[in-house]
This record gives sequence, C-alpha cells and structure tokens, in this order.
Amino acid sequence: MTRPALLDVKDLTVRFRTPAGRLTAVDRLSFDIAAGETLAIVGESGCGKSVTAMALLRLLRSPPAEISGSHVRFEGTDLLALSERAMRDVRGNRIAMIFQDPLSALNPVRTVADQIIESLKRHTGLRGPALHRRAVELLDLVRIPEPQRRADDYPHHFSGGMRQRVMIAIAIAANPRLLIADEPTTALDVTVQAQILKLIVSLQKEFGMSLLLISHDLGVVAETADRVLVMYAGRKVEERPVADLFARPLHPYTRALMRARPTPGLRRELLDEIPGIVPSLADLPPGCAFAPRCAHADETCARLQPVLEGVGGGGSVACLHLDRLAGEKPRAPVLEGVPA
Amino acid sequence: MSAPVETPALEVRDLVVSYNTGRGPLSAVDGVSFAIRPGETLGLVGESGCGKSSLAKAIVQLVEPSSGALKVEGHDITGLTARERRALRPKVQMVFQDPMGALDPRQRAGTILETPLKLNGVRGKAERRARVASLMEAVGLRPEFIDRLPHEFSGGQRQRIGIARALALDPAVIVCDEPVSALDVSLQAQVLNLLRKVQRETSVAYLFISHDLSVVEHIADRVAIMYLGRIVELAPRETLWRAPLHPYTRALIEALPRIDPGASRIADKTIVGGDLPSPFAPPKGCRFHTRCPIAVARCAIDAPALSDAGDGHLVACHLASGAVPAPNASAALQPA
Ligand SMILES: Nc1ncnc2c1ncn2[C@@H]1O[C@H](COP(=O)(O)OP(=O)(O)OP(=O)(O)O)[C@@H](O)[C@H]1O
Ligand SMILES: Nc1ncnc2c1ncn2[C@@H]1O[C@H](COP(=O)(O)OP(=O)(O)OP(=O)(O)O)[C@@H](O)[C@H]1O
Ligand code: SF4
Ligand code: SF4
Ligand SMILES: [Mg+2]
Ligand SMILES: [Mg+2]
Repeated sequence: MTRPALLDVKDLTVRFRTPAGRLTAVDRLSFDIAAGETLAIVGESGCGKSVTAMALLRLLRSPPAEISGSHVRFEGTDLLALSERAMRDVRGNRIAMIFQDPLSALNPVRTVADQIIESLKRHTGLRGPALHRRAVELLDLVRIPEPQRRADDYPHHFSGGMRQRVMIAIAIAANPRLLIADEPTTALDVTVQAQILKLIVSLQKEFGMSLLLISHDLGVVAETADRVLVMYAGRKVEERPVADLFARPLHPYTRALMRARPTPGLRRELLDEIPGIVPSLADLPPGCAFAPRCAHADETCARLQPVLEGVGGGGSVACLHLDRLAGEKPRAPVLEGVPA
Repeated sequence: MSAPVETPALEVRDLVVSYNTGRGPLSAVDGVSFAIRPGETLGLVGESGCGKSSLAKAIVQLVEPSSGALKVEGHDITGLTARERRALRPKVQMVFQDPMGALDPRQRAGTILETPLKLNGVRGKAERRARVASLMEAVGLRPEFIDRLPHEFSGGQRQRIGIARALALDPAVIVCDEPVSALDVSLQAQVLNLLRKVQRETSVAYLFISHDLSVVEHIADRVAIMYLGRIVELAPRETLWRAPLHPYTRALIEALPRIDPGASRIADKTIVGGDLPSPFAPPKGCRFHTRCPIAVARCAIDAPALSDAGDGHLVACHLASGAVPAPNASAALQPA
C-alpha cells in the first residue's frame, strides 16, 4: 500500500442551477494531497478552480449549487457526509483558506490582533493574555515589521501585501493540516507576490502543512508546486509531477497554454495563439471540451469524451490522441486517485 | 543604438503630474522624459501606484500635467491653444485595461467605431461604413459582429474593439495601459499578436504599460522601469533583460516567476523586502534606498540622476558603474 493521502477527493461534481439552465462547473474531479505536499490547480478563468476549493470546504450555497461525489475524504473522514456543525470544526481548524482579496475577507472595524485572537479562541485552548501574545508572535511569523506596535492597527492601515500577511497569520493560527490558497497573490505587485509565496512555502515547511495552491499563472505553479493539476471547463485534463509537466506537457491544452505565454529571454515575433474562446459551461460540446480549439482534434474528438489515462511517473492525461502526442514514451498503468 | 534621425512620434520631457488630494499634494509623475520613434514600442513597467496611468493620462490629455513638454510628431502640444490641441488629439489614442468599462454598453460595435470618424469630419456615410468594415477586419472581428453590444463579446473581443477604435483616426501613438492584464493567457496572446501585426502594418508607435515584465519583454523594443514617479532605468529590451543595471530592475527580474522547476523554486529565491513607500512622503535621496539591498549612506541624501551607461542604456543609481550624466539636449532618447 501507499501512504494514506491527507485529502482524497473522488468524483467531485458541482452543478449550478441558473436561469440559463443547469451547468456543471466541476465535473467528476478526483485528486489527492499527501501530508506536507503542494498540489497546484491551474487553469484559465472560469474553469472551476475556486468552485472546487469552496466545495471542499462546503462553502457553496445550495441552491444554486449541488455538490455530489463519491467522497471528499480528509484525515479519513468523508467531509461530504459530515453534519454542518462538524464541518464548522474542520473549517479554519484543520483546513484553512486564504483568498485573493484580503480586504474583503478582513473585518474593517476590528484591529488585526482582534481578528487573529478570534481565530485563536475558536480553534485553540489559549485564553487570557496569552492570546494577545500569540497574535503578536503570529504577526512576527508572517514578517510584519514591528508586530507589537502594528497589532492594534486596523486593516486599512496596511498595504495589500501586509493584509495578505495578516490573512495568513489568521489562517495558520489554528495550526491547520491543509492550507487552501486561492490566487493568494494575484492582486499584488510582482515583488510582493514573490514575498508572499515565499512566506507561504516557508510556513508550510515549518508547520508541516499540505498546500492546495490555486493559480492561473504557470510560472507561479512551476516555482511552488510538487504536483500540478490542469483544469479546462470544469474537468481535469492533465495531472503530473511538476518537473514532468513542464519538461514535457502532454495534453494539447497544457501545451498550448505554455506556448501562448511570453517567455522572457526567448523572444518570438508572435506568440502561439489558442484560437477561439473557452466554451460556455452551460453548452459544452459533446466530446472533448477542448476540441473546438485543439490543433490535434479530429471528428472522434467531437463525439467522444476522453477519459483520464495513466502516464509515467504517477501522472494522468485525458486526450483521445495521447498515443500520437506522447510519441514513443512508454505508458505505465495508473489507478486514478492512488498516488504512485 | 544611435539617436534617431527621424522625428519621434512622441516626445515627453520633464513631465510632472501632481494631484491635490485631501491628504495634501501628491506628485504621481515626477520629471519623466523619453521619446518613441514611429513604429517603435516603448514598454513601461512598474508596480502599483508608481504613476504609470497618470503618465498615460497626461499623454492623452485626460489630466493636465503640472509642468513639462509633450511633443507629438514634433508638434509641442503643451504650448498650444485649445483648438490647435484638439486638431492634434486624434494623433494620440489610448487602449484601456478594462475593455468593458471603456466602451459604452448601449452602443453597438459599429457605432463605437463610427463615432470618432463622425466627430473628426469623415463626412460620407459610405466612406465611414467602409472604414468601419476595414477596421473590424484589421482586428479580426467578423463583419456580422457590427451590430453587437459590448456585453455580447468576450473580453478578448472587447479589447479588439478598443484597439480598432484607437486605430480609427490613424494615430501616431497609441498608449496601451495594461491592455492584456485583465485577460487570460490564451486571450492575452491573441491581443499581443494583434497589436504587433497592427504596428507592422501602420508603423504606429506604442507606449505599452504593464506591471508584468514578461509581457513587456515580449512586446517592447525598449523598456523603461518606473519607481515612485520616476524612471530608474531605460534600455533596449535585450540589454535590460540580460544586463540590468538598477537594483530595482534586478529585483523585478528575480521576482518574476519562471518556468524551470528544476532550477527556479520560490523557496530558493532572494526576494527584495518591503513595500512601496507612501507616494505622499517619498524617501529622500534615491527613492529606492529604503528597499535597496546595496544602498550606501549617500543614497539616502542625493537623488541619482538618470545617466547614460552607453548604447542608449540609461540608469539612475549611484552605484551603477559606467553611467555618466547625460549631456544636455542631443538625443531625443535622453532627458534634458
Ligand atoms: N453561484 C454561481 N452560480 C452559477 N454559476 C457559478 C456560480 N459560481 C461560479 N459559477 C460558475 O462556475 C464556473 C467556475 O467558476 P470558478 O469561480 O470556479 O472559476 P475559476 O477557475 O476560479 O476562475 P477565476 O480564475 O476567474 O477565479 C464559472 O463558469 C462560473 O461562472
Ligand atoms: N485622480 C487622482 N487624484 C489623486 N491621486 C491620484 C489620482 N490618480 C492617481 N492618484 C495617485 O497617484 C499615484 C499614481 O497612480 P497611478 O494610477 O498613476 O499609478 P499606476 O502606476 O497606474 O498604478 P496601477 O498599477 O495600480 O494601475 C497613486 O498614489 C495614486 O493613488
Ligand atoms: S481529445 Fe482530441 S480535441 Fe481533445 S485534446 Fe485530445 S486531440 Fe485535442
Ligand atoms: S542609488 Fe543607492 S539606493 Fe538607489 S538604487 Fe542605487 S544603490 Fe540602491
Ligand atoms: Mg477563482
Ligand atoms: Mg494604472
């Protein structure tokens, strides 16, 4: 047997009822994360990254959302089967989340120390003066300069980067096992973005957390993740160890995404465009969702939906023409959801 | 690279943009100079609040500069009467970051493109129609899209309309303020390619503004790096990327996420610390000294001048060896 995964998601599906009809935002998604590991989910806007994260924590309002799946097993417990009350204990305590926009997640009329203390009270046994002391320690840990003095400031006194640091302090206050970071640096400047990512990764090491990092930026993913899951239109199209994915992407969408991105130092007159636009989730083509934009598509692709197939190194890819694309590379059999 | 012999499409000299705010005066652009040749792209990179959009708005006359000169195809527009200025306005166009916010939601694509033609004296209806059709073709929009409203387009298609509108009056310069920042990678590539094709065909000059150095490195011929209202380095694209001289430029390049998981991991990178200082109280001396890893005592006292390090490579740093103060006048590429 292999080591048990901290999080094991099997066939997670999220549908929304909308005036325009029912759409499937996340379609039979399976993945797992081992203790201490970083899995990145990458994909373009609307592919279902945030909905996946929200569904794991059962934060989606239902209706309009309908969540189904075989299981979302975390530390051996199926989160889909938990009562709302038991779920509240998991949230913020065993699994914490940080969002893209720290300002909307922070309470503007309470000091940052108060907001960290609230998390400490809810999730730890600390009481009395130890709470404030720990809050200052946490601010120091996330590298807020002069934490003692800044603890009693309000969020609007902080820059965007400092607010994200405060959010991280709140998130790690309870010593969670899994940190979900949904585009944690997208709204920040390049230098601050790199500071925050570095901070998250160093805290992850220090606390032995697992990290689910959600990003649309292949560069961020390449520098941070152990494994990468590429999503397109609600479905996983490729999942590989980070080195394999970037050395030899297999799915046509992953390849196209990499070639569409400017590569500093390698100037091309024109970038390789991906023609067309992402299809509407309410109106997906019957076969492969990428078929209308894929350079390798043929009439089979328009009819048949590809299923995930194992490739070497514990990766998997969903493409009907994988043989052709993978070339001579031998493929190892893989069972979905079981880490190799 | 030698100084251009032709008249620059755009010349900006000692431009200052200040705002009177509730918290006091703020100089968002503090003495910026550069020139762009016809058919050339100057990239402008800097972090949030450094003054990129303020500079852009001053160039397209959406804000009044406090001082400095602006020349379009050699005509000084700062010294003109309102009427003379109006005549030159079509020469400088702008493409915005948010294509939805920049388009009137009730106007159909055809009307959006026809309006500037109408306002600028293209009288014949047939002539306008033909021009609209050719603009739509130039930006890759199908003719039947002419009656669509902005919300019926994708983000990338809306940005195409924004570009077509900017092209309508044969501008000398288009100021592109974060034109692809709101777009996904796949649409980004489409719009970047379109901008390049348009430039090859029309020889329009671009001032291309972005916070993303990798996008600018792709599209620009020369790149200017801005920090707190000032240009700290300006160099040909390749030089800036391979041999950056300013510590801030080096910090930006180091911070850029790279696709090389074997060699480039965030945990191993050295990232410059600190946040941007408040623009209301910019640091004395070199504005970067509060974050600069190699600052010396002098940096907190003297502001370094933008100086020529050779071959059109300008840098403002006391410790950038080889940089000599730029001589007066001469090359349009250099500040006075
Ligand atoms: N409450 C909702 N009702 C209906 N559709 C929704 C709802 N929330 C999300 N969706 C749809 O689900 C799809 C996935 O959205 P999601 O927010 O997960 O995308 P994302 O990958 O996080 O994109 P981004 O990179 O823009 O954050 C989108 O098409 C979105 O419009
Ligand atoms: N109309 C205004 N009134 C007062 N201050 C302004 C105004 N417009 C901009 N500023 C201030 O001027 C400075 C420069 O702003 P500007 O928008 O030019 O920066 P930017 O480089 O474009 O930033 P971003 O990358 O966030 O778009 C900022 O401190 C900003 O708050
Ligand atoms: S299944 Fe067909 S359309 Fe889909 S990615 Fe593979 S080749 Fe392209
Ligand atoms: S002048 Fe001094 S502080 Fe400024 S960039 Fe150069 S070394 Fe750093
Ligand atoms: Mg999202
Ligand atoms: Mg701006």
